[in-house]
Amino acid sequence: MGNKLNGSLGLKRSLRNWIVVISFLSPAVLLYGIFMVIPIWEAIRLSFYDWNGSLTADLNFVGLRNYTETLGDPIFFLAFQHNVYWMVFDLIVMVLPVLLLAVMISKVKRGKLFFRAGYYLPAVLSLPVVAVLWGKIYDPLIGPINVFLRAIGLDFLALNWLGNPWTVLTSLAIAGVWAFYGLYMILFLAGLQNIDYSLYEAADIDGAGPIRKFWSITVPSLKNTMNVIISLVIINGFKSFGIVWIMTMGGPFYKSELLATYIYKAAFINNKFSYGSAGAVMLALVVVILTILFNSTREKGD
Amino acid sequence: MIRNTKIFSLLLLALVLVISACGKKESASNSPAASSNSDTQTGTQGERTLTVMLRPFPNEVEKRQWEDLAKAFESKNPGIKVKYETGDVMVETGKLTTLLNSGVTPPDTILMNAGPARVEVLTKSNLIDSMDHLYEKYEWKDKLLPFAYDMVSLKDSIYELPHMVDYIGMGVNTKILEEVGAKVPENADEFYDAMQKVKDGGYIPIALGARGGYASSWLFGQVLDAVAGTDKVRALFFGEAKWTDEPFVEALETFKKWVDEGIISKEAVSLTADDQKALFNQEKAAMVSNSPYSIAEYKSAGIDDRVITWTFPAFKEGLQPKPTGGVGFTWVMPKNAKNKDLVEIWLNFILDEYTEFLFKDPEATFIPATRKAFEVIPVSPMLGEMVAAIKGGSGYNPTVFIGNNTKEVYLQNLQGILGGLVSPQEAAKSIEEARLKDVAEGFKLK
Repeated sequence: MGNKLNGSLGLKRSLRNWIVVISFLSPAVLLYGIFMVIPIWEAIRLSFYDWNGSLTADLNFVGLRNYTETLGDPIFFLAFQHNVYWMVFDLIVMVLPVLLLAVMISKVKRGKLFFRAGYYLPAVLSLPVVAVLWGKIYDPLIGPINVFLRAIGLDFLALNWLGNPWTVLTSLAIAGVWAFYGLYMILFLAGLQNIDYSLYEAADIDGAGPIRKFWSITVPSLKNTMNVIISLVIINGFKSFGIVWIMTMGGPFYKSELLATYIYKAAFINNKFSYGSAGAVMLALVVVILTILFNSTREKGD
Repeated sequence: MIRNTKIFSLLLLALVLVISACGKKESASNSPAASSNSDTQTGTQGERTLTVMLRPFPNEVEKRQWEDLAKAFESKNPGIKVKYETGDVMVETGKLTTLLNSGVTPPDTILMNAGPARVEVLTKSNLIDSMDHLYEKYEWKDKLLPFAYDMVSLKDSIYELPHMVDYIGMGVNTKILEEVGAKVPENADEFYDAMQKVKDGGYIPIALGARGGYASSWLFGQVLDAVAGTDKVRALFFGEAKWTDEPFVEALETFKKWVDEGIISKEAVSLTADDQKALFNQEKAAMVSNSPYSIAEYKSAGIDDRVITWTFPAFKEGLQPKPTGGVGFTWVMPKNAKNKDLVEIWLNFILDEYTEFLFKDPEATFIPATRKAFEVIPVSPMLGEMVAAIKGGSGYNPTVFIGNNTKEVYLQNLQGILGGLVSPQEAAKSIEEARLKDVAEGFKLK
């Protein structure tokens, strides 16, 4: 009798515990499921069909056809190369230079807030505004860059920035860096505030100079922040879309085509949603693989 | 345990509240009377609202014209109120298809950029209604310009009612030509001579802003017509010729030649359509592609007294180039539109009354696609010239008649030629490959 009662009480307790666990987990699981798992699953599922976007259209299973067609399109590979270039450019321009900027701002004695707000300003502008602004900056006839270059007699450098195949991608990437560096700068500034100041004092006593302190204290102390930023730069490098779409739509002659613009054109302009989904799945795979590679390399280094 | 039970009860309550809120919202949005759009469908006085979607008004003149048209419609149809919504009406940007796919109650009718390839995107996705029964019921065919009707009936079923026919020609600033000692060209030699003089005079011969792609197509479409001839261009778009055939490669070569000779500036590839307008309206360029919409712009720039509308001369013997175009904007009816009966009244009003209404306006910027357009004389002299120029039919604006795969490759390759990134032969080959892809996917004009 006693055992039966104990068993029944144990079952009830276990059930209650489960209810509590589920009740705590369910909001997050529900939200994650609705907004992440289901869309991802749908994108993967659709990539095996030939859906044209119609809500009433029949879905025909086409197997891997969308993937083979995408992989057989030279423009897709060109776009991939452009994304790799964009990512590498961002890594070079966005990580160390922005860290240096953050360090300099953190060392400012007066007006720190002014510099912090001033340098962060581009990050609060919406991408269309940034794109229009830089579109005018790069204008070959009236853009300030070319006007300045012509004024100082460097006419040969006054290029057609968005029309020249050698400059268009870099010009767009610079506009992208300008739009996003503020966010990374704030992350670095937050990281800098967490560095134990006594390390710098000890280094001062040991006679270390500013460069030595930067490489031996600042950079290692910001390792976690840097990992986050590098991961974000890799991910954003492959997700770039807005600036390119507004400024060049992938032109001229595909010279600024990125994977995201390629996918957008396929899905929303040509209404080949399944084909676009296949491209999106491959893009997601590339980003996931690169992020995993980066993190595993970093962990091995640790 | 009591604490856990309380937490659980609180969470459960919160969940119930969230779900019930969502449910209420959903049921509210499903209710016709409560939906935000439907609020405007039936007013308290029994007044109904027709929602019409247009492109964003390009200028105050066009805005006023549409407002006046709404007033005229409302006074003729008491109890119906016209509400305009503006947005992107080009299929190419993807926003229109997204809007129609979204499940949100769409506008009752949309005036979208026309073209079989564009409308096909919506019909293939089952987003708009067929209008076959309306054509039959109201005998619309007899009210439309024959070539406008031909252009919308290239497929098995008709899904659109053409609103206006396009005229794409060239605006020419005669003051600049006079200043540099040139005259309005009547043949190819005079054209090249005039372009040289314009260049020597420090002006841009032809303003072009090709960054978005379309402006280069407006210009190239005219080159295509003047080099290959309207009949061959027609054959190309109707699948009876290839882009790699000699006349079309020659047209692409002519385009390249113009870039090489500075008739089109090398900067064109990174300038926008707005830059193009500014160059011409500020009298820095002698020529530009134009259309009826340009009339208001010339007036507001104060150059309307010295700008004429003109068509390229034949660049090959025996050709008679025409302004290009086709149907510019066209009415479609979204599948889920709520007030289809009102749309019928509106479209009949457009066909019966719009032409006289518009042509009375000295700043009119459209050529209605009605037979009346060739019967009523517009007050605006330049519009009158444009109407006269297309009386015998017009040439073909390529982007209107090619499939989506072709369009993307065609626009990119025009940019490629402008930027010196691709040869005309390579461009023709790529465009032809894309055309074949469209054909394989079922794109064909009847």
